Amino acid sequence: MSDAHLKNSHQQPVQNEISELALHDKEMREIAEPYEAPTTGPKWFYLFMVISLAIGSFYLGRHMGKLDASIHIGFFEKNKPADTSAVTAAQSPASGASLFTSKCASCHQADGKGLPGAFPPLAESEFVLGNPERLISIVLKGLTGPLEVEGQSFNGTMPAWEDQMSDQELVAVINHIRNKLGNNQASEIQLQDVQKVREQTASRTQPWQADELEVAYP
Amino acid sequence: MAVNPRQAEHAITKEAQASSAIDHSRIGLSVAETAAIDRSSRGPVLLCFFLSIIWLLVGTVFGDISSFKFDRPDLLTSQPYFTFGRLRPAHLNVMVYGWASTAMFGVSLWLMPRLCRVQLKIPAVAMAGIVLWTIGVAVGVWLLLDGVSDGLEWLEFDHRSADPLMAAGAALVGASVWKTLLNRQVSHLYVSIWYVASSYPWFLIIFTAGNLPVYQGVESAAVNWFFAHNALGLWLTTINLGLIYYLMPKIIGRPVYSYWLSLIGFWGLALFYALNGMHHLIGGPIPSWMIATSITASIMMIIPVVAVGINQHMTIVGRFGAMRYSPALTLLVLAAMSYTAVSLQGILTALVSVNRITHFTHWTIAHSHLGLYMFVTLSLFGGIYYILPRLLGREWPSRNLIRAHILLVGFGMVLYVVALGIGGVLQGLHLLDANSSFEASVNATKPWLLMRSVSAIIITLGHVLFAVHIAWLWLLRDKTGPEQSPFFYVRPILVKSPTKVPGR
Repeated sequence: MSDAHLKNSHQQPVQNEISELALHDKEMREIAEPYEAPTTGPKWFYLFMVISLAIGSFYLGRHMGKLDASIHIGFFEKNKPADTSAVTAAQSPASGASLFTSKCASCHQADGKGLPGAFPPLAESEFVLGNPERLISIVLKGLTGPLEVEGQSFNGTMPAWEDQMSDQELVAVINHIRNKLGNNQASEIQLQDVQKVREQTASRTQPWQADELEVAYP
Repeated sequence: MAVNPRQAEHAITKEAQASSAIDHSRIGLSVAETAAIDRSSRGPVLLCFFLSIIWLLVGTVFGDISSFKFDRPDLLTSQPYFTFGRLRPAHLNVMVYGWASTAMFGVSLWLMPRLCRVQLKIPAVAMAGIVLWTIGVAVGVWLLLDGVSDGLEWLEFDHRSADPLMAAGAALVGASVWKTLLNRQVSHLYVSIWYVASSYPWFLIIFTAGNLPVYQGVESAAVNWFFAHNALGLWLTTINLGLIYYLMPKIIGRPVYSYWLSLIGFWGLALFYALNGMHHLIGGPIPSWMIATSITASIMMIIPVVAVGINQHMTIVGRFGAMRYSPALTLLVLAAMSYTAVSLQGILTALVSVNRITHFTHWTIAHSHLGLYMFVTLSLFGGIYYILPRLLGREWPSRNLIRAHILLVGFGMVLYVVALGIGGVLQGLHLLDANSSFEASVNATKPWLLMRSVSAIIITLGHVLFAVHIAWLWLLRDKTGPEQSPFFYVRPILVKSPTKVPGR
């Protein structure tokens, strides 16, 4: 580093060509390498460690559930009991109202009055309030072609629901249609009615035409 | 306490450990040897620091623009590469892989030879690794801005071009680190060695596993967070803890408080941190046992965090005054405190009751900046402040620049974390309230996001000063000479120097 100083010092550079002064510089800027003292640390920490492990095991045992693919809905049930029960009721497979909302209302509208010229009304409709077997068969197989309801003409297609809904769901949604829409007031249908119509029409693959229905279910 | 397999032959009692650790400190490191060791790692370390500072500035610009876009959504929308969806991942990836990881390569290549008392082995391989890694990051960022992204947070870099280069680069640097370790002249492994050496295999495992293009749907999300959390826990955290464990006792000239607490801190982290990732998916369609295991592991992180916290606090306690003389120590102490703080905050956030509010809010951004900035970045700043003068053989030219840098980035980031933390909680409460519109949750965060942008400007200023200072130090090369008193070096880490050096 300092040649002048080196010459005056009457000393040869030590190993690796580092002058005494440079060594001095190094010495000044480096403190000895650190090491770890063999202290074990405070006792409370080890107690703390044991307590933490116990709490962790307890938490894991309580919340882990089974080693399967089920998702952890259980975490939230405790926090929002009211909400979850409401959701469960609304999504219950036998709820006619929710089935109507999800499967029927987009065409027949939430109030069941339909759209003039496009979708026939369900409220006060003779097809709904009349022969229950006719209604069941329409829902099962669908309906297509010219149709007259409450003095209005329609020419559209309703899809078949036989593969989409179980017998219980059909009972629920049909009873909802017959009793909850507009001023509808009709007899409740039973599970056997749906099963019977399903058997009767088992071989049918095409949707009904209005005139066929008149013959089959007057 | 776990039984060491070597216990049979060595009978590691407390006394044996004591003599082993103390012998370790006595294992000859003459000044000449230290100088030779530092010389052996000089090239790769300087290259790392140079590249990392460039990435730091690039990432800062990306982050700033991303932040400003929250205040002025119409800012810079004319070009696709300026859109938030590209800039924000570019900011994250540049900071994690460009800035922090590259600087950490430098730190580990400097630390390992010193800790192993041997010159750096295969430095050319390390150099090649750094170059490969940097090319990988550059390609990844370029493609990100061009719209090519893997679409998973922290794994956005293209898995066909960027990721293989980066994996190869990290493997080469790791090879040099491990080759040095295998040629060590010490029998006792100092705590920093555990952290630094284990980081490389850990990082390669998680980086490769995370980037394999074989996951679908839910498993992809699970692997995504396995990687993202472990990139923090088993890579960014470990090397910086190693750095703090080395420099903090070294600067104040005291041993680390407790060997046993170091052990618990290291193995606790290795055991529990790896399981933490799934707590990012609380509420997601992940099997219950994965979430529960992850939350448990997050709570258990309190053991290693408190162990490291006690260990580092007891090492420094009573010597906090030394921070006035050493910018490196100041930054490392702040970083060590932030490690404790961010870990405790992380444990809190992993709890289901807290997570319900803070998940998907700006709270998470505040949390990750507390970790990646207040801990990782400040620790790396501290390391650079200590290492660079020793490699370049000259002292930092300006105390005021150091002071300004520390104050700007420190206060800037405190403002950042507090502002986004509050904004995040408000946002979360609005999102949870069924009667509150989504718009209300956005409006609630507006003033806090503006504050974040202000802090971004403050931090940017700090980064610019830091870069200027490094450039100044670099250019000083030929100006130091015999005319300067060698005793300027007497207190090399002085910020508050009693005498003013002429000509500075």
